[in-house]
Amino acid sequence: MLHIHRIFVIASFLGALVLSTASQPAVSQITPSAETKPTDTKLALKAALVLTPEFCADKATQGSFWTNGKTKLFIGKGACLQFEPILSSVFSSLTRIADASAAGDAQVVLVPRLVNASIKTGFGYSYAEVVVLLEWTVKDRSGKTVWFETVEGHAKDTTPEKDANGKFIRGEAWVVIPNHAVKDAINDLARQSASKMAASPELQKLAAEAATAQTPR
Amino acid sequence: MIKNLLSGIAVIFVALSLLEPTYAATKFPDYPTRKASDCAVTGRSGELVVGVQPIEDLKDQKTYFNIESTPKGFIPVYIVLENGSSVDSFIFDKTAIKLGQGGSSYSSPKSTMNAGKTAVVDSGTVFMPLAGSIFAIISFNNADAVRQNIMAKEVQSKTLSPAVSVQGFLYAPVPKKGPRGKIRLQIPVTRTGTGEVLVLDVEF
Repeated sequence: MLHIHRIFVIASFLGALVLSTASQPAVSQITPSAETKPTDTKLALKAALVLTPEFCADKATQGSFWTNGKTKLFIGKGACLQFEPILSSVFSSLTRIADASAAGDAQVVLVPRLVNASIKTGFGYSYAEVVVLLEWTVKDRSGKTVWFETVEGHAKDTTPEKDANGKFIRGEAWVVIPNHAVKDAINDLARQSASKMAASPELQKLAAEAATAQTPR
Repeated sequence: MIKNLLSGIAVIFVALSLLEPTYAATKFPDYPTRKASDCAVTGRSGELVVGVQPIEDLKDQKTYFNIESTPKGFIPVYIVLENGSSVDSFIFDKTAIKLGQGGSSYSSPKSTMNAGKTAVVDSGTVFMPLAGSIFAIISFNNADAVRQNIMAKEVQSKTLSPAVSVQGFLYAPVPKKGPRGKIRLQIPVTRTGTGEVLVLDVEF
């Protein structure tokens, strides 16, 4: 019995060794989907960011219980934590609201919608690659859509060899790696959204019109 | 006996480790972008031009999607939408795209409609929204890499600023066996500011 146990341990060790060598370089990294330039000047618009409870709870589901397991990607939860601070760099003022009817005197209302999300993991969770697609609808005061865009967030994370305390975390990689990748993809999504909003000719035109209307004659 | 079994397990681990990098390195080439005028079918409405290029060849389907999609019941359809206006912007909402059977009952819809009116025209053709078909298509395929690639290549909703274009794939259902009938696409696009709806109508 002891002999069998020893063989099992050796086989397990070999398996673990093989898994570790099959992994990607032991560095956590973010691969943004595109170059993001920081916003130099803010759009002179009062914006209201609509983060409804439904959106914050929204998730994407992938896979099947009967095959490789069902994976849930909690995109809304992460987005509701990361969007406001990053998007506030785009507008002269940004207020977070839970319902579009509470927009008040906002000049533009920003409404996100999760389109889809997908995760791809390497064997033994050696890496996780996440793609998130989000749709933005931006309406003016009259309720007219002035900007409509799909933004992609992307991240690829590989197994960190050790945590900050020097402890090996490979054993819990199936949790750590996908969570890192989802968080990073949402961060990329927020930065890409900010970049696209700032570069939008439609929003720039609206800001210019609003500034002209406010200028005393 | 047990020793042999465990040795076998170890061998499987080694084999899988060799397979993994191959899987991880799976790359799907991008479909070469092309102008609307270079596509098999083109349509125009006002300042907007659409080009449509169905990917019928199984080899091309395998190359760009790593799947022979026709036997699975759909074909990828490359579309490119170009805004030729130097002033106006248009909103392209992929969820508003309608798909129908082409053929003898075909009649041209009005190319423009007023704001607030539905873009679907009654021409004897039964239209259904194309949005959502992607989820049905990719649900049968458990290969995450294939699924992610199909999602990434899908055309996405966008504001078409002056002189801006958008391109990507739609996934149209077809019979798994035998020749397919004509497919008709209606693509409504809304002019920002006025809310006027232009309908691009193509058959392939």
